[in-house]
Amino acid sequence: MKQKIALCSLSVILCAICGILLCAAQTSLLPMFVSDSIFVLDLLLCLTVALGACGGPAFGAFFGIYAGILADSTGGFGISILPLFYMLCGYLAYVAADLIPYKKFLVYLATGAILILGRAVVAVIYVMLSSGSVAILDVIRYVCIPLILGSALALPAAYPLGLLLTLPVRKIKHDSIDKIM
Amino acid sequence: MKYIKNKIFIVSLTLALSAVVMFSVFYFMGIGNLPASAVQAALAPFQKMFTAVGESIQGYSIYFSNMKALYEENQALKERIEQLERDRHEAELAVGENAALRDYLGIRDRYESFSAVGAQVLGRSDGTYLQYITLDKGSASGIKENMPVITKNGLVGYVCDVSINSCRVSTIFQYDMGVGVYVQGSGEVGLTDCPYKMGEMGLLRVIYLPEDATIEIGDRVVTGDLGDIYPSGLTVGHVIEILPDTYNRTLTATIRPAVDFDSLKQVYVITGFVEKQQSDEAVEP
Repeated sequence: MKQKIALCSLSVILCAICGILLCAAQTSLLPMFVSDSIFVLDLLLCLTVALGACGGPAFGAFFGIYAGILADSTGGFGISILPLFYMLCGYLAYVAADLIPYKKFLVYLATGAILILGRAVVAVIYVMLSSGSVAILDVIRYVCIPLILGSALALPAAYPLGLLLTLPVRKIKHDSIDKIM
Repeated sequence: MKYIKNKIFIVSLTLALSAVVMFSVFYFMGIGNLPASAVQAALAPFQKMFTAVGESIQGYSIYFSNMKALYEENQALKERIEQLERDRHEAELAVGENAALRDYLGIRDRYESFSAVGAQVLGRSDGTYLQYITLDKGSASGIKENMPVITKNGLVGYVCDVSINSCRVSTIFQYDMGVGVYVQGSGEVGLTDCPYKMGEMGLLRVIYLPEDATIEIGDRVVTGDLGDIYPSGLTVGHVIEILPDTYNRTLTATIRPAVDFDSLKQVYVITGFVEKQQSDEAVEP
């Protein structure tokens, strides 16, 4: 039991560190090389979905809250809905992986694509709430499309990272953090 | 339905909603920046690190994208460095030459005008004592026959042969070269002479000194006013011995040359001088 808790803690710590690193990279490193008007990579969302698909509901949901807080703190405008949205993304990724008896990676990609669209909608809501009267076409052109394109590019790369971070947990015999809890 | 009633879902949903409510309340209370500030504080070191990494990568990408320009700039800088190295070398030579020339100011002060050309010793005559030396400057540098050759210590000799880029100097050891001199202090006038035996030892002698001359060991012997080749006052050497002549009623003084001929490397050929006492008439040796 102690070993299981230790392995689980290791995964959690790794995820926490990875979350901070991705958030820092997303806000400092990537804007140097990727134009905001072309690609906006939501790495935290991609990792949340990957953790939900690979590590189970707890990983997806709790990391989602954590990622939402990080994202809101760096790019929010006050009213915070990202912790809830990311939590739902992580949990839905697990649900999809659990429900659909197909290749996990493809299910993950499909789920991720839908959730990215959802993220684009949230982004529109954010822009509308924070900026007031903005042409919807401009929001789509300058916010939604870059976010969808960028995150879609990052989505496949996040899956191996999700597998790696949840490796200690998946090594546990019963293969899920649910049972530990 | 089981996914909605899942314990984890309920717990995480509660936490997420709590976070949303809490942050929103903070926002409406006007302290919404507090949690964000805390997260930002934790993120700042990592952002700093990534920024540094990004700048390094950008630097490299700029480096590679401007490779051709950098290559050309590099070539230009290399040429510039080579040019500067050459200039520095020439400047060093000039500084050395300048320092030596400064030593001649004492001589130069005695003349209205005084010009000299620096030259390197290229070769020496065979034999146990130095009768001739060859210099690396010739007529192209303005050197002519009969010009005096000196170092900062004193007289070396005079130019006896000139080619376009070199010249031969007859030194004061030349057996038939008599230089009119006088002994400073007593003011006695004489003529230098260099028998073979003395030349072997690197010594000279001054002959035809009056019998009653009051010469002392260590007196300085300098070029005299007689003759057209040498400016007056150039040090020839110092008296080390005084002997009476066997066949004449005169004295002979043995002198050690002021110039160290063994280590002679750089000399100066006096190309022109005008003595102050005869400033109205220029002298070209």
